[in-house]
Amino acid sequence: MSVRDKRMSIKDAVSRYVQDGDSVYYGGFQIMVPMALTHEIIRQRKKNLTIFNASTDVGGLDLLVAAGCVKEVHLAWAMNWYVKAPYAIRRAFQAGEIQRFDHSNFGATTALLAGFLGIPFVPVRGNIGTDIVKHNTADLKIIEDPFSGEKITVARAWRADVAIIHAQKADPLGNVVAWGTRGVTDEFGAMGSKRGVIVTAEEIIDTEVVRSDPDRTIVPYFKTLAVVQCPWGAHPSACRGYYGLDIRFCQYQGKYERSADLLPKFLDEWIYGCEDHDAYLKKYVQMFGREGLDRLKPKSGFKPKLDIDYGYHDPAVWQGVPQYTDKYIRG
Amino acid sequence: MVTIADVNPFEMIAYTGSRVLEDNTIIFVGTGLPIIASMHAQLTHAPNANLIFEAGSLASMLEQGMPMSVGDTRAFRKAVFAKGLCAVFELTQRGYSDYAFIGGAQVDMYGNICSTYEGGTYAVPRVRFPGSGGAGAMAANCEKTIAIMALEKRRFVKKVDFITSIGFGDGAPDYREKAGVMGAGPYRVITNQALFGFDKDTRRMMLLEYLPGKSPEAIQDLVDFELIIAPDVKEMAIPTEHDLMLLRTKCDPEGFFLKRKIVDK
Repeated sequence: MSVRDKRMSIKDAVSRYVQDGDSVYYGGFQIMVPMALTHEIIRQRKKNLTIFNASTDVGGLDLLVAAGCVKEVHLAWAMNWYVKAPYAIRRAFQAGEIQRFDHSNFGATTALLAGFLGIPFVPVRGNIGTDIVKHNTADLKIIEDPFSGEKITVARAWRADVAIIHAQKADPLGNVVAWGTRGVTDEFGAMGSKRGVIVTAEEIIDTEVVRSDPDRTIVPYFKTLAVVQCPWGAHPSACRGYYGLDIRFCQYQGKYERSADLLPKFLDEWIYGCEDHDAYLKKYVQMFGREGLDRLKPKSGFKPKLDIDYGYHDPAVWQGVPQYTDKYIRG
Repeated sequence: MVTIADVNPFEMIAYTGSRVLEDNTIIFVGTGLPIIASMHAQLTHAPNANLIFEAGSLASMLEQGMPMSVGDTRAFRKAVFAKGLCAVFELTQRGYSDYAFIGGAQVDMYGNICSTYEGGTYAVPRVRFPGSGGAGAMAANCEKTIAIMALEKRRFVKKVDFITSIGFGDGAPDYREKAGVMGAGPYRVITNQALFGFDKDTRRMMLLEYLPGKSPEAIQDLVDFELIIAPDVKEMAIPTEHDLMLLRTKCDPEGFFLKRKIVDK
């Protein structure tokens, strides 16, 4: 739990903290998908990863599977919504190349919650009577409620070896700050991970700034392995306050995902052929213009109207104040 | 005067979806047509129907237009409550959501829905779908389930390949109670050609309304199990020009989900 500067390059973060055969909490939902980290894992040709996630959009997981990094996925839903399917995952699953363990989103987030709480499982309503609980006995069991005697499903705690997430801000020590559209509650997956979390952040901020608004911290420093400053790190998914969803790019990438023959070309051009996320962004600007990225930025701000003030209470005000007394309570 | 020829199938679904929603309710919406139907309801007869988006927002104001997905930043605009995915499902588990508004690939006569695979087996499916997403838990714990699907024989099947979202199961009166779920179960199934409900006594799917120009027999031909026909079965209402204007210019101006075709008049 050492307090130290954990800033490093995305290359170092992934090579040091993601091992072949790891289980990985894959952050985000339809927003805040850790795409820069996805690309780096592909670049470093990591193998045999097990993915824990509730739902994931924009095809990040599809790329990871296509690149041969994944052996097993535990999730409720995977998509590139903008082409209506996760084609590489579908091909891999139908060819028997990956194992898939189905959950519902609530079941999956409950599994992450159990990991977050540090307990082995959490009861959850809504699986008995479906085929999910019949086929995914690795993640779900039906037990008798010890109090009422009724049947209830329990979701096994998901505790990944390592978590990868994207956030708006982080400080050098690894305090992670996020707000707005949250999706799959990355703090569950991050805090429940065994070794810790790799975070890419739009901005690095001073710890003093974190301390001024600790309500917004989703992961405290000691759980963080690496902090990577990475603007546009969730692209083409959105990062609240910084950029919206890049629909055109999702569709473009999705057309590659659709074709088993074309997809390797996308991996070559946009991932293996780019040294890092900056190179990916440069390529984007070369191909689709600066305006392609500018279009994604918010038109105007939308700052909280609540006047939040944590207040400072001076303990000196009690100096010399006598004990309160009355006719029953004497000093 | 709008005729049925002016309305494309997706608009018909969205409009019918809107009609079945009541005001002052909480609707847990899935991506796509459920969002459009709910937006239309808010703009017409249900201004105080509030939406839960799965990414964690409640009662947002859709003044930036249709969210492309339930995780779109637009789905959080001016929400009154914005936590994560687990938090909104916890709301349903406490009984605070009136409608689950979901899609699927197959449905059977008891309203069980499959969105996992079609054909083959679970291990070796012929076509593998994206999976449950939120639908499974929504169908379990929201009070009433509304499903949207195209009316095709391969979708309206005797037995779904996989129960992803619980309906009335095998039709036993206590199937849902034994499953320990919160909601009452299947309520409506909306298609481009028919609106279905469920018979109270048998929990089987019942034809309530059919597209003008069709007949109950024509609908039955597109369904692989025997339908119950409601005694007061009638033609579906057609959207007015105002409704179409709302759908086309306010709800989904880019036609992303409605995919409207230009109608030559």
